[in-house]
Amino acid sequence: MNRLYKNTMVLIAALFLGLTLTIQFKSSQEQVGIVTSETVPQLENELHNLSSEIEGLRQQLTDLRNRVREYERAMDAQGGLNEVLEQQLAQAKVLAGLAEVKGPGIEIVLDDSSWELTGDNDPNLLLVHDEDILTVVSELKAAGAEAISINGQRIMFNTEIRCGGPTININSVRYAPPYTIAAIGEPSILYGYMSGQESGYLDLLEYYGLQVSIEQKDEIVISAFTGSVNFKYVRTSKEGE
Amino acid sequence: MKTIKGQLSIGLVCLALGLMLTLQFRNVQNYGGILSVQRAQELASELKSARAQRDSLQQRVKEYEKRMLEYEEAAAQVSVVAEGMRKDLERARLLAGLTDVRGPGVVVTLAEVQAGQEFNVFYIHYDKLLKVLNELNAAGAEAVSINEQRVIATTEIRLAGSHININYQRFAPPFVFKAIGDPQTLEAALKLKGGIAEELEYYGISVSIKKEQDIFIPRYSKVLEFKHAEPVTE
Repeated sequence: MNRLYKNTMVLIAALFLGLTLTIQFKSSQEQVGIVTSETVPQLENELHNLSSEIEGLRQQLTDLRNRVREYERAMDAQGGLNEVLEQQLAQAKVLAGLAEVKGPGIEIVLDDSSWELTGDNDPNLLLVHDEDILTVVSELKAAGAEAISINGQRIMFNTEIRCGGPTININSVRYAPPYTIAAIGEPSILYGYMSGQESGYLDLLEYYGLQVSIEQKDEIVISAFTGSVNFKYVRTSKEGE
Repeated sequence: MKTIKGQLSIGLVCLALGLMLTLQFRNVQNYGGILSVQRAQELASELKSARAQRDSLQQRVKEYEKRMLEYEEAAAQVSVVAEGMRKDLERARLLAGLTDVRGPGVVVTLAEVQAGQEFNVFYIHYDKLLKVLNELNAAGAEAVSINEQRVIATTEIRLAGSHININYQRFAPPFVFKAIGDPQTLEAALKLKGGIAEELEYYGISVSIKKEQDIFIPRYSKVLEFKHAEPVTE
């Protein structure tokens, strides 16, 4: 009796072992390639980006269809093509930053600290730096700003914001504090984002003693970029290249 | 004697079983589990169909773009003024980031020196990406993309949870900057003594800069339109 019991035990254990082995092999066979714990979020990001790209392409298609239709319609009218071309140009200039624009938005003013400079504090912490402005501008973009200027200088796609001693260079023009950053967009969203938890960057600057003010405006005017756009290296890539 | 033998064999079997179980668990941990394998397969097939959809859409967009450009070409033939307008239009679209572009420049790849660490250095120092872009701009970059996202005037670089948003798309390292401009100047600006490349390497981010004669940078992938900003007309 005792012997039988023991043998049964061994049998059960062996069965269990066999099962485990099988599962082990099976599951490692299923893993074609390597599925690590990072794979899923990676794929999810890729899918998110692709869906957003598809959405963008759909919009582009509708947009292009409308444009083509407008040209087609204009073909019949005298001087119609010219008119459409003019419209297209005006629109492209607005998007490129080559036209003056107005709209609701917010205005942020950053200034050096008014704190007395004592032996204890680092004078560097009391100044507005290029990186501060760079970050504030990026946060404004993340909040959905459509057009931004600093002390009247339009922010373009290739605008640099860079320290040049006591001043800051923006589009190769020198500016000194206070820095007035104007942004057009939905005022409550921009304001909520910049003054709330979402950004928190302005609060941080204020904590360090910089003078920060932020205000919603019904109308802000942002001037066109007036610098040179004589590019030497870049060219439009035509189809089939 | 016999009982000891029996017990020993059971002990051995138990030991082997325990080992197998441990191995099994470890594998599951490393591989993200059987569930995530299924999820990964699901995602992979979704990705495949999404890619096909994107490609066919891209084809159609190209066709319509061609037709539009043909009309513009035709319109430009009418007069010298119209020809000037068409050229301005092309330039404005280029500045807005609405056309594919080519030219010489640099390809800059930023990666973690030690990958797979608990803390991804990029998420701590994501603002350094802004600095790299800023340095490229200061050195005269005429068009830039980051991970194939065209940098336009409203492009944000922002930490959002466990990824970095660029044009509201989600990215994880490595980050590949493509910049069109004078390759020499662009490279020198990054490699400056005490400059951004040194700074990044100090933080554990490797920087590789390649000068190239022909770089392709895609257009901004969505329709760009303003809802609040309108042109000021005199």
